[in-house]
Amino acid sequence: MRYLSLFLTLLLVLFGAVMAQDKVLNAGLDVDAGTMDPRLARDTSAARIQELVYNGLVSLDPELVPQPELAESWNFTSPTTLVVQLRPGVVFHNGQPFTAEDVVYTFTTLLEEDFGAPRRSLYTPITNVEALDELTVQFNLSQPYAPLLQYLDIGIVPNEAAAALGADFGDNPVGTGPFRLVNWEKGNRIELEAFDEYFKGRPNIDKINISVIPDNNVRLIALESGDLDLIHSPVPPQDLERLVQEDKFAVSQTTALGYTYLNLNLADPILSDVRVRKALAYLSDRNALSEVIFFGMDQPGKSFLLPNTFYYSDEVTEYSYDPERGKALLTEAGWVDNDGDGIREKDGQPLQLELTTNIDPNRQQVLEFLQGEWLDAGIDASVRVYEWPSYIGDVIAGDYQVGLIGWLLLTDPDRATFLQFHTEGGNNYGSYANNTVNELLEQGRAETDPNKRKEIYTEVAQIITDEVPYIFLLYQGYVVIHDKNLEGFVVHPAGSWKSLETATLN
Amino acid sequence: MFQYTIRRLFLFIPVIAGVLLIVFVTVRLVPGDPAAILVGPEGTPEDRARITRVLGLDRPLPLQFGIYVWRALQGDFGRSIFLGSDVMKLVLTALPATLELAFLALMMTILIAVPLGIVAARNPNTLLDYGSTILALLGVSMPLFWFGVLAILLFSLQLGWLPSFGRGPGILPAFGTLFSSGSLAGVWLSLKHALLPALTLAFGSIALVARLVRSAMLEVLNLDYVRTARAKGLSERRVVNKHALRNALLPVVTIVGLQFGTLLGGAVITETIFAWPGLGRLVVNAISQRDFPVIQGSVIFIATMISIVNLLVDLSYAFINPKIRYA
Repeated sequence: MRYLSLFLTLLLVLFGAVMAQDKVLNAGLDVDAGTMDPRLARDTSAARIQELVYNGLVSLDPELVPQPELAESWNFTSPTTLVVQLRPGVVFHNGQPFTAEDVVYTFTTLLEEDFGAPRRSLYTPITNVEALDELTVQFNLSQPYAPLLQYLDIGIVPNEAAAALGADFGDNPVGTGPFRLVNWEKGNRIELEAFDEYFKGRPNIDKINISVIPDNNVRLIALESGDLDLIHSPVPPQDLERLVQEDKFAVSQTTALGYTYLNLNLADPILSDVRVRKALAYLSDRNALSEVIFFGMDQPGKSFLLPNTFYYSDEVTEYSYDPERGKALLTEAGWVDNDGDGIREKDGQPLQLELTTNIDPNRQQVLEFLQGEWLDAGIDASVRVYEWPSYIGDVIAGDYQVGLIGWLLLTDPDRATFLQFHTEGGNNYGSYANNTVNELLEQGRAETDPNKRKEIYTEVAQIITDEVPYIFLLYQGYVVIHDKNLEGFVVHPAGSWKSLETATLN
Repeated sequence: MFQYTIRRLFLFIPVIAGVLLIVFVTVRLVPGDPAAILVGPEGTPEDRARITRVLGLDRPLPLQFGIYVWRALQGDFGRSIFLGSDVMKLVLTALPATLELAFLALMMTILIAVPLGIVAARNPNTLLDYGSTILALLGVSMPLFWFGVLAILLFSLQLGWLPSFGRGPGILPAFGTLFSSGSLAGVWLSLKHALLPALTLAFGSIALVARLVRSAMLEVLNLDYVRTARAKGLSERRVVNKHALRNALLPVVTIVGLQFGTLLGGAVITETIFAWPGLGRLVVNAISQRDFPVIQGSVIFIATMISIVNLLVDLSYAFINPKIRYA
């Protein structure tokens, strides 16, 4: 009798669960969002989730063209004045209407020095933002700044709620986006729920549960065992081929907005010789790296102009793999193996190079592969792999010879070049200096005509190719794998999950 | 005994202050600057200088330490640099998950290892003994992360019996719901989630403790008083359980107590594999990001917990062996 009643209760519970079935999407991420305050966001996970909780003035479509979002339209009334017309009738998750004051507040606080926004320097050409009326804002710039629109996709926070919560706002986000945060167990789980009053209409998906699973293999197993419906990069490249053949999953690949490259330290006496740098470029088989280590997920790289973007150019030359030419260049530079030990030397000094990177299985494989190729050419190459905080500290301090690093989220060519190659650039770790490049980068930043900008950056790309401060190894790939029950998900090179606002779940 | 306990509790203060000082200085000596990690490679020197100032890391070290201790004494352990949340809140949320895992693993260790050791000791050099030796060898030599991933592959992907990652509602809260609403679902779900990570975590300890019980039992079983007990005509069961086990258990209790510390340490890896939201993962993430306040706060908590367990172990000697008294 007791068992019978227990059984009946269980049945009832199950029945109830079936009746009230929400459309729930279970997604997996490798790291948690650090904060849900878009002004303080620094990592890609935070960006993923903030796009679901907030809206920017614009959003970048898969071709990276800014599309109206909270902004209805915009207009540069002068090269240093941008007037933005805002969308009426938008409400925040707390019921407050969205107005120009919220935009002013978001950008004003972002620019405050003590607020501590990690990406503040992207916005510093903004002198101030003012509300012209309830639904019109004006951005005043200190100098013409072409990439500005690309960066206006940052989420807008509500003036009053954000000011009232202060530092706690990052844990209790309020946005205008398609989903609102219901529960957040830090480092573990994020639960989002469809926002009924979303200005584009309530999403079809009722709930999104995002689990943080640090291990790439476990995240993949969780997808295969049905515990998750969607995962994205990083995915172990060697598993990709198998998954593409599975009927249950949709696998979408695209080029991400990033490249992996060797940063050559020009302050180093060996690497200050352009012939040595060119030799290294010829000695690096990028096709093999792409195929052997990344199974085609990351494509062979060429320059900082990313494929599938407006600014990509075929005109820029590249170093195809040519060991003989590389060896000849080393000999020409005076590096010859005189004592027959297999290592070249010059003035009694052996040709020693240390290749460094942070702990990452694929990056380590890349360096070990290159080490072998370079050894064959008579370079005494060694590999050192250590943890990210120490490694990045050494790179910033210029304490390295050949560093393997990557740049991410390059939504604009300015972001891939100005800080990296300008003599005064804050990320010019390898002390690269060329006045022509400096002038071109300044022009590119101020020029608003996209076609003229394309010419400028193509020219910069060719100079960088000729002088080799960087060896562009790979264009990073971006992969999304999801259950086929999810329809209408659009893969985005920036890794955006924004299309979940319109996707359907069967 | 009461006095002894009080005295030991007072000794906690210098221990924890020492741990704090060492951690505080070490995290700042190790290369890696939180400001540089926060702004990322994209950050400019100005960005790094600004963030360093906002975080108060530009102040002299003794002043930073003084401010930290002063606030900590008032219960304020600061805010995480990367998560923005109150450190105390983060630690207290993660702590139950880790304790649950360590406690379950400890239970498994005791419930599996002690009988296994006894059986092996009573049948030395038989198939049973060799079997448990092989198991023990595997347990000690197999890396945790490998065992964990294999277990997930088998039980989650192949058999589909257990969830592949994460924690259920938590066993204690689930028992709460069981008593308030009579629903067993929560307990069941929590146990299903906890089984694989707890077993992974316990595997090494089971091996170690089983070997220890075996050798301690073998030694004791050959002693004169055991022969006397047998000569008196006591049943073998009574000889083993009543006379031998108690004496064999003393070194085992010490090791099991120390194992609790090891389990907390092992939780770091297990929690990462199984995406278990515990203290171990919190600390690992904090270390890899140089999140000073979180590292400091968590280490203080872990140090306190291990101190308490060590005290409990010392106190338990008196119960197991009445000859030991603390005066």
